[in-house]
Amino acid sequence: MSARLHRSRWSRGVERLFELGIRLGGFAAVVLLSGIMLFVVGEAWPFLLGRFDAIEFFTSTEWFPDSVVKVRYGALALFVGTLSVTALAMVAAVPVGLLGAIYLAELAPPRVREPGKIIIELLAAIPSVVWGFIALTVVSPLMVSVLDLPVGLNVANGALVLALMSLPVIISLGEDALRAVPDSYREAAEALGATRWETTTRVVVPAARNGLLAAVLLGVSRVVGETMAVLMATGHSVRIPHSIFDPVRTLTATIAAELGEAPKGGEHYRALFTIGLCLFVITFVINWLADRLIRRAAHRV
Amino acid sequence: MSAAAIDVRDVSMWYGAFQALSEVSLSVKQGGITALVGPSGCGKSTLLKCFNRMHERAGNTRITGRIEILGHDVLAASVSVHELRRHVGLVFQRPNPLPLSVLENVTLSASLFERWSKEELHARAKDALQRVELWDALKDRLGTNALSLSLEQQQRLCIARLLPLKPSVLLMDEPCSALDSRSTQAIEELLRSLRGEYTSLVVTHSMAQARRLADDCAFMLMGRLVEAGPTEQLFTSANDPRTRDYLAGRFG
Ligand SMILES: Nc1ncnc2c1ncn2[C@@H]1O[C@H](COP(=O)(O)OP(=O)(O)OP(=O)(O)O)[C@@H](O)[C@H]1O
Ligand SMILES: [Mg+2]
Repeated sequence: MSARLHRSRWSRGVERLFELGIRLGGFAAVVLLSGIMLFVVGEAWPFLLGRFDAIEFFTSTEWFPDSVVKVRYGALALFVGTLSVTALAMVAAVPVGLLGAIYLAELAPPRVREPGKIIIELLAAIPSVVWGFIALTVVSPLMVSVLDLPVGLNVANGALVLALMSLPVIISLGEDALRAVPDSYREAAEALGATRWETTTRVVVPAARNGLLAAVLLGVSRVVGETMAVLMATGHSVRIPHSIFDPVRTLTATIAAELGEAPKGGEHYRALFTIGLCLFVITFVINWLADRLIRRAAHRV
Repeated sequence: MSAAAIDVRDVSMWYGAFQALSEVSLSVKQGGITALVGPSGCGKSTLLKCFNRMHERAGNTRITGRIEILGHDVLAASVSVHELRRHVGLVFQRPNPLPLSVLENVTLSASLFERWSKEELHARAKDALQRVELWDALKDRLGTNALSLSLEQQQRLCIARLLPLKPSVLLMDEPCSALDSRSTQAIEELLRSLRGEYTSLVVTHSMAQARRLADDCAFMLMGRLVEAGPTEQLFTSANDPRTRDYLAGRFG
């Protein structure tokens, strides 16, 4: 008894060491993340204080960063580009993703569910360059031949690829949210005579509402921040699209395409960092909302 | 034609290879309160679930024998379990209102089976809530989440949500075990007030409750129905020594 009551000095030492390691790790993560944020803000700062003109930046579509005669930093077309590709991608991905999550969590027999989840996770592991490659070599020629378009790199192509990329996020997080609903709710609904489908739509989905919304938001955030695939799929045209078959350029694609050529420390370079800052703010707000919803869902269940 | 609401003939039931019920036969009188007693694990909940086929949720179950409720063979393959559950309501041991508003909880079942106007649904909800004496307390809070109610109110709500369907039978699986004694008394009064209108079958671990509440009483042991009869007769002069010992509290 007494020998067990007092832990050895050795085991206490090891525990301290672990604790220290975890503290250091967490500290490093916080320092690194705030460092990155400070860096982005710092690089954008001189532009924000100097050449930056909010009205031009947010309302003009004239993006001529390295014009010799009249330099312009109107990013409206880039915002609209991101918005249009994101919106179209979500129009496709949200219903399919949610139905997929509902199917996997509530309706699929185990012998379909398990392989299904593995396939979804594999889909999430495909690097975005590969998706861009598919957009370039499969979707684009298909659009040209089937829809008789001059080019196949446009909003629709980018949205399709992004929808496919966000599906795994929406499905697997949505499935988690549905599985977190206690079985006693399903049991109660079925005891009242509800069918499987009625139980799902009337009870389980409303109970998982916040978690499902968070899944959708995290899908959106994945789409907004995606660079490589949209760069390859949407064509390069800084303008407001008039149809889903017009090429566009998104915020992310602009940074990726131009940062290499912009002289470091120059105005153009700092303008691109300002775009980066905008992206940062957008994804931060979306993730923050999603986080709040997930917390509230966890609180309720 | 007998006056039995539930007629059970030689029912045996298995969860996988485990036999939970063995040749149970029982007849439950219409309009009365019948208590089902027996030690833990003897199959009371299982028998109750068989009556509205909730046991099938467990998967891999097998059942033989015959259960008739108001003359209908409920185990027949052609029976719609959803229609069956509409007529045979089940109240669980732990109050389990759905995470919806009070009003939605009461109207859910009715809205599953028929299309009602908003006013009709509201009127039915009012009837049901009045029946369980929740209306006065909740009439201004019909939109609040049912999970925020007290346990007793939740259990009343769980009874109320069965009533708009006008079920023939109410099955109650230890409806008071999560409640304190004052709430227990209140629920018992509610059950008494439903007597005559509904046939109630109440599982309980409390001999005193069985005696206070039930017209008839049935005693189960290890998946078998040992003895059933009028409550007073069972408590004072049971035929089977095991029934006498259990009801006297000599084992549990
Ligand atoms: N889903 C299930 N799968 C396998 N065995 C089960 C299942 N449900 C119950 N059993 C078993 O069936 C037997 C009867 O269980 P049941 O819940 O009907 O007992 P009970 O009389 O209601 O007990 P208690 O008084 O503790 O509620 C028990 O041995 C239990 O372990
Ligand atoms: Mg039980």
